[in-house]
Amino acid sequence: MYTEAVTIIAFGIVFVSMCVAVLTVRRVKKQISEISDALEDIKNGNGNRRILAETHELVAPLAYALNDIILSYESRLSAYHQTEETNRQLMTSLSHDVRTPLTTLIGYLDAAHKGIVNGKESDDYIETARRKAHDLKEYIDVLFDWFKLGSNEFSMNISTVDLTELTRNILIDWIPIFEDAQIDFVADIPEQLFRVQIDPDGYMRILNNLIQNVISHSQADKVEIALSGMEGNIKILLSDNGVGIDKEDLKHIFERLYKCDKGRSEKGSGLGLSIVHQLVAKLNGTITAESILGKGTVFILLFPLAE
Amino acid sequence: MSKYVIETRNLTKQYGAQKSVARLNIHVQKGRIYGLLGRNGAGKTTTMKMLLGLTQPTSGEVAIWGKPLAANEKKLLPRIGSLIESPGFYPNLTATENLRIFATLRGVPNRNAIKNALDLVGLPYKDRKLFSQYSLGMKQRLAIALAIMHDPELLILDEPINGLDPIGIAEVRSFIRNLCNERGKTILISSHILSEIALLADDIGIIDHGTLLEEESLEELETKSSKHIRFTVSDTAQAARILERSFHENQFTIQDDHNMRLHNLNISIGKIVTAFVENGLEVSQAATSEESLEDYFKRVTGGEGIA
Repeated sequence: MYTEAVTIIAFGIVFVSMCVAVLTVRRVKKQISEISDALEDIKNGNGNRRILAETHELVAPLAYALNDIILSYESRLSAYHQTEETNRQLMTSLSHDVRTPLTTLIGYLDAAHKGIVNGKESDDYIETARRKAHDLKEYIDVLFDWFKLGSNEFSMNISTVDLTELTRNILIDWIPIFEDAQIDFVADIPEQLFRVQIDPDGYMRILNNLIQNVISHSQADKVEIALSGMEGNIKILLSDNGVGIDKEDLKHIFERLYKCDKGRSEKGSGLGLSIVHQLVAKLNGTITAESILGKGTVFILLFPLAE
Repeated sequence: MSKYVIETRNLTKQYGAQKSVARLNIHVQKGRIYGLLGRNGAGKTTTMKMLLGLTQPTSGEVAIWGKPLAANEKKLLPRIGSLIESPGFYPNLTATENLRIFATLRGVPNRNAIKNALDLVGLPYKDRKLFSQYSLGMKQRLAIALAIMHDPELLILDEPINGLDPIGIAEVRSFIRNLCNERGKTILISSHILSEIALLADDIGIIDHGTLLEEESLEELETKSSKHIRFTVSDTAQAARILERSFHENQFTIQDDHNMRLHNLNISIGKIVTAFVENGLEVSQAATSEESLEDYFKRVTGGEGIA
């Protein structure tokens, strides 16, 4: 009697565990087939696919580990797609931004060439065409810089220089331009050495782009540049009393192709500040901007001082 | 693989004599945000329910990732995240507990899925507050967290900004935008607010009384509805020169040798055409386009308007 009961219980236990085993195997088999399906999809380029598993399941650690790998694959893929998208936008805007001034320029030259105008007016046309050609070249230069920065081909020659001296030298070339544009210019550069590890050419481009940006867009009649030391950094402030930048726009000014005035004005590539931003980052510095609408804008550059 | 993530063919839903959705053909592309725009009762929610298999279509079919939904629901639905009306959360449980139930039922892509989802929508993890004590905005956030918890490839969101305050709306908007831009997700959203769709969507489908009136990219729509004068002339180079010289106008873009657009509507077309003809140009077209996006929607929806 007693042994019979034990036997029945034993058989019962064996039966139940076999059932559980069979069910588990079935469930895992099904999940493995789902995982292979998903992996096939991912192999074909779908980085968004995820493998789902309940936390306590047998396959969960495997599924989660695979998801981690897929996620890093996805972020690389999406970075690539974003570059592609930017290049597409750039091509579109390029075809407009180059075609319009170039066609207009041809219009002037054709008119002079065909004798539609002559004498002083003809000379005037050629002068206009020449100016437009220079603007166009400037635009192409900016574009070239931007492409080089994007493809990491921008070569930097880092050396230790005194930034006050370098800044003075850069500003000298701007003084006549400020005078022409009737802008009051104040430079506050202390008689003190600020040694910084920097690419002088890169720094020059940064400053030139920023100043050009102020002249082209701020409508300011006063521009101030100030250098000072701040906690192991040198701080360069470029402030103007111009129209200022809207809060919404301010968040985006360092993005490529972002233009505050949505109309397609004749000048401005939408790349200048984006180039500045990338250059500053490459030189281990930071740039920020603050602005009050109608009062003006301040650009703040920080570079670490050399030991 | 199919070009479209979602494609419907003559999708129709009839309630009694009334057709709620009639022969709808929408096309949602991978990695883009598709905005379904329509007034209340236009058939947006019914369409979305059919896309998720929550309602059977009377006729027509839905294909998701190129596969018919009806035969593949079990395989396709886990890859979709959705927000339709309010999900059934337990009022006597906290947000985290509610999400844990769904995580157990559906599986998740990693161990921190619940925390990640709550972080993304700005709700606290393991907070003691019960769902019944949540405000409308917080409930909506939790519903969004549920939709994204399993990191789906496709999101179907019915009026996702309902019940949110202005800051919440901006947050959800940029969050949806990032999912698409940075993570490459495909997103279908519906709204009755034109400005909301215009801010967010890449492609727009306008639905009215159950039928799709227009399906177009926002880019095309904006070109259509931008304010400009279109000219087709024999020589755009000369036309550009005349605009600059005689009208002191430089707000124009040149498409090709014969087509250009003037973005300033304050100049009389008559005067420009006369000047062009006097200078020996042939003008084959001159047309003003000054329909705003709102005007455009009013026209396609038959005068009733949307927003």
